[in-house]
Amino acid sequence: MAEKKFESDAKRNERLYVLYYIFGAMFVVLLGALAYRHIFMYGYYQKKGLLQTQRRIIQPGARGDIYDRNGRLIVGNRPVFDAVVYFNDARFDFRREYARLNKLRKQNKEPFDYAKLAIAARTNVLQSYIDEINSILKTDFVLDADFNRHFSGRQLMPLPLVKNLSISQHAILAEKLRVDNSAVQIYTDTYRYYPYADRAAHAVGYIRPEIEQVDPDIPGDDLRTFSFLGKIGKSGVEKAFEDRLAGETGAEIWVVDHNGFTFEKIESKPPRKGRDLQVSLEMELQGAIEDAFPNRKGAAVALDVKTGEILAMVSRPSYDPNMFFPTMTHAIYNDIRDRGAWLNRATQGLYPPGSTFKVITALAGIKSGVIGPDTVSYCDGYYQVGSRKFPCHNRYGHGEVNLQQAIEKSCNVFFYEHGQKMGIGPIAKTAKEMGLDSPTGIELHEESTRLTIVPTPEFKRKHGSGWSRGDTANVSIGQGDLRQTPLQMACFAASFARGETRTKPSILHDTMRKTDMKYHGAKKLDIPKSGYDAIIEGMVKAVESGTCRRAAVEGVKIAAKSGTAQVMVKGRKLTLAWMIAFAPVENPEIAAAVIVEGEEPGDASGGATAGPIMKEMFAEYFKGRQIAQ
Amino acid sequence: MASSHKNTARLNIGIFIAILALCLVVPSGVKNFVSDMFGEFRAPFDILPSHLRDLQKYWSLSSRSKRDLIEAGRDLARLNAALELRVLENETLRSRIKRYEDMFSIPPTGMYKQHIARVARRDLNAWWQQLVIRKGSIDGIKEGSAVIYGGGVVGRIKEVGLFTSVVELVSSRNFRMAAVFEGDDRPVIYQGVGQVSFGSGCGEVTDVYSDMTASVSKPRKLMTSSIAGVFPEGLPIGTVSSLNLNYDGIFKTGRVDLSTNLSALNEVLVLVPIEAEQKK
Repeated sequence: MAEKKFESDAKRNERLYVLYYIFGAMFVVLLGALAYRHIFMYGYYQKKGLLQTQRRIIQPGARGDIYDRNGRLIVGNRPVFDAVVYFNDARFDFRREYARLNKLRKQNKEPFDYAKLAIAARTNVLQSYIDEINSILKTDFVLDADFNRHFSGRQLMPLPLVKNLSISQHAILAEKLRVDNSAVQIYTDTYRYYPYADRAAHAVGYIRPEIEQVDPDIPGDDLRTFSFLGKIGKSGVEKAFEDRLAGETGAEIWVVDHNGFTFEKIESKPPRKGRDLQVSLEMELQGAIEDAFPNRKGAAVALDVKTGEILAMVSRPSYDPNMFFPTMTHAIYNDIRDRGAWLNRATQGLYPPGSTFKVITALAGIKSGVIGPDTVSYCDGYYQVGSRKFPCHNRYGHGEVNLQQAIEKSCNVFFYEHGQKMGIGPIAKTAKEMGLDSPTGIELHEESTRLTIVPTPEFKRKHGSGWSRGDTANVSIGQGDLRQTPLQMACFAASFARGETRTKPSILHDTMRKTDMKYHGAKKLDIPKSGYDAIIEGMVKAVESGTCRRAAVEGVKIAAKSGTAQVMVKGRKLTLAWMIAFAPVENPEIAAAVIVEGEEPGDASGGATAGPIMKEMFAEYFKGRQIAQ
Repeated sequence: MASSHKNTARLNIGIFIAILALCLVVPSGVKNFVSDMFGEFRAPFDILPSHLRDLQKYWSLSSRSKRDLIEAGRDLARLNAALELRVLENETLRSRIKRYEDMFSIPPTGMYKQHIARVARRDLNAWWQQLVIRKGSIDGIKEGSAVIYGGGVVGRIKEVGLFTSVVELVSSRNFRMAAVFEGDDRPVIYQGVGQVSFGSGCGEVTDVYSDMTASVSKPRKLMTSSIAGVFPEGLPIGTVSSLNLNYDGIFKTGRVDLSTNLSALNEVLVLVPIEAEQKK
């Protein structure tokens, strides 16, 4: 009876029901968690799985070539061959060697150390590859001790065993390495190649290897990415036209196994070469100027008068960008820095323009009515402003000079006198109208960010001093606080040759360029023709018999103005040799500015130092050319 | 009866598994030995049909009429005379080259020992592009030696048996060599690409500088380069009718059309470098 009661009680035991509920609830929780993981978190785990099993390799495209205006290659890409090994191809050799070493370890009863064995196996295998290369090429290359870092950090990238193989070594290896039985492969990379070495180096610029900026269009930006080094323009045309020259980045996405070795390529986008560029430089003219340049610091710029295209841009001292490959060493960098060769003096060098500025003073005088073609001054070797005597470069005096003669003989007194009469206002205004107070707008990023200076009383007041008549006298002959770049002065020469106020320079060659006043942002020079002609005649006479006679080229009518500016450098009074010019006078085609820095007091003068460079420039330019009348 | 069949099947499967297991555990030296022995064992079966074909050809020729034979004899005599003349010319040229080599202290060009070999078997399909020739290590054939014929490159010796050798054909995917274009001394890389569908074998030339051009109307001849010392310089490999710029913008790549004679060769010349010969 009692037993029966017990069974019926057990069937309806409420404490057991509680237990059932607890287990049931736990089961529901488990099912819920399972569903949560498998259904709601599906995307998260799928992505995590992909991140663990996929790798992305970024391959930058080769940069575009750069040609001069006549189609000569001035910057290209040089192939570089490396004998490399992809770890994926060597994995079976690694395993075999690991097994051999492990067997030896067991025989010698040494303790097991996986990392040590694995490194030893890799070393032996990679050394055997190098031995194979050495036996084929009869060389004695050794294994780079850094290969283990490459293995752990850049496993999917090829490990260079021998870098920079010659073309013949590459060909021999390609023929003698077994295609079906060798992990060693030839990897072709490109180095930037500058066939003209240090010629036009500042204008062309250089590049540096940098981690490639990956295009957002390339998929897999959340995957672990291995990247070959890209190349970024750091100066000159290489930097200014980076968007155009840079190649299109390519990418590959690989599925990898648990050891990180590639298993299957699932996506691929090949890299593409950047677009080629034709710059306005004429390399023969560039070469002629550089060859004529003395072994001194300085710069020269030659422009096409009508289009403003830069025909030549010289900055000395220079450097050979080929030296920056495969890497720019500290020694190379420091050597260039110590020689002062990093600076592009043509666009960044700020110099007082000296007597070349007298053309501006003359223009200002004609515009303000103070100077006319027949205006005369008497030069007896100096001009007195207050108590101070301002000398002429001819201490015996030029005697009576008119505008044309003042330009021809570069008489300081004529410009002191008329500068005083008109004051700094018209001079500064004319200089600004000619664009001498603002950047020229050339595409190069190296144009001086410290603006060129046309001093005015406001300028001096800003710098804590007052304006004096002596300042006006100094500015009248291009001295004082005036600072201009050679590019500015070349643009001024081109503008003046066209009888306009501005020239917009360009380093790009474009045969379709519309080169009217609107393009240059210029206005007609607002002066009487007689005054303009008198200045030009003075500049022509300067070449024929005056201060610029060393720039004369037979058969070419050149207009030029020399200048010898004085600067204080570390307590020494040095001179800067200047010359601006254009030719042929009848129908100007080329305008130029040359500056050579003096190294010892009095060792540089406009006519004697800058003149011969100008002569070589014009001689080269007009060689074999019909001179348009 | 059924149980007996079952037992036999079990036995066969057991033997198969045992052989597989044996393959896995046997040292690689033993495996190589067995493989070589198999090659040597098989060699007579390659050579014999080839000899039989030669014999068949001989009989078919000898069954011709006397007049045919006399005419053939005359043609042969003429050909012999012409060849003798060429031999004499070659002798003169060789002595001239020798004189120039001595004069300018240039290393001698005659760096190969030549072995003429009959083709025993051809494996020309999507998998293999190779020939078996009736000469082996006993004749002085060395692995890696160049194999040529009158029309240019045939390939390279891949394996050497005692009496036969396997030639990796120039059209094989595993064949790669340095080459030059006729009239240009910059080395390029040639590699076979195998047999194309319903066509003969062909190759690909890579690392061609971008200024090089080729077109159907102006195809370029690809020649051997002596840069690696395997092939003598100036032997034709094939012709290139188009070159396409690679993605890198530096090099071009093009298809190389090889001679169709490769599939019908009966005799080839093996060039064994004298250096290798001396080592032997």
